Amino acid sequence: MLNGISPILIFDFLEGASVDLGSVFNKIPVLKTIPTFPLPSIPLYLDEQLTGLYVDSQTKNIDVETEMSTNPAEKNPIVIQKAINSLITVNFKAVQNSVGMILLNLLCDKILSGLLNGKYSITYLHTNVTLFGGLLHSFSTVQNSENDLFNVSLQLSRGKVNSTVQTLVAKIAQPFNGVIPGVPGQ
Amino acid sequence: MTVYNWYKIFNKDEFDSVGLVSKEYEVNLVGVGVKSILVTKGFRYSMVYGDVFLTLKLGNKNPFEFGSHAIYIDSFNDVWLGLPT
Repeated sequence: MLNGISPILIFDFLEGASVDLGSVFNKIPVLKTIPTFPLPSIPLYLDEQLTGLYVDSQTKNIDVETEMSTNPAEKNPIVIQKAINSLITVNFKAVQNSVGMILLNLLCDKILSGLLNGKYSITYLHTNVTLFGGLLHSFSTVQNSENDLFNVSLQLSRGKVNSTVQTLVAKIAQPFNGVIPGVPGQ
Repeated sequence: MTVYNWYKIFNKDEFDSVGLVSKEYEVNLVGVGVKSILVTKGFRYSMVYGDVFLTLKLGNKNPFEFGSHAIYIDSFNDVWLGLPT
């Protein structure tokens, strides 16, 4: 709980069947591969009584990079801004072997296997701090010798992975043969 | 009179409208490959191609030739890069 309300994490995964039916049904007009489908959402309450997770703090920050370029005509500098990230950081303590800690470890490991194709999303809800369809930015656990509690830090980032790769196409310049352009061979 | 393979790199008016002192153009020069060309504006407009620095109308010459390369501006303010044939 944080200030009387338990935050909730919701994990969503997409699974795709790995069977290629093309070789079996070559002459029958059916789908050759089964597309991905969503698995049921997995909720996780950050509550000390339900799941053994005690939330210490929660922060939200947005980082923006600002570049300024001057120009020779002494007009106002051109300002270019680029979003770096939008992060929610949740710090909490977990009892060793608590249901919540075991589940969180397993889910983050599963996310690692899905990282390269973006087939997952995380939703975080707590009062006015919400993140729908976010990504895992970092997850760390620290255990010390003084007690049996884990200190856990979970960072979630806003944004979805692009499903297609965009490639920048360079402008094409055709050669014009001549002493000067427009006057061939002269 | 030297014959070059001329490639149109940028338009001077478009470059001026951006309002920057330098801009990098990535151009696919057919027959050569994709090249990054840095265009700069000081007292004059210049292009850096590889390790060659070409200044537009330097010494009032258009095209301005340097070694086996050249730079030329036409009546439409298109700036061309001349490479050896």
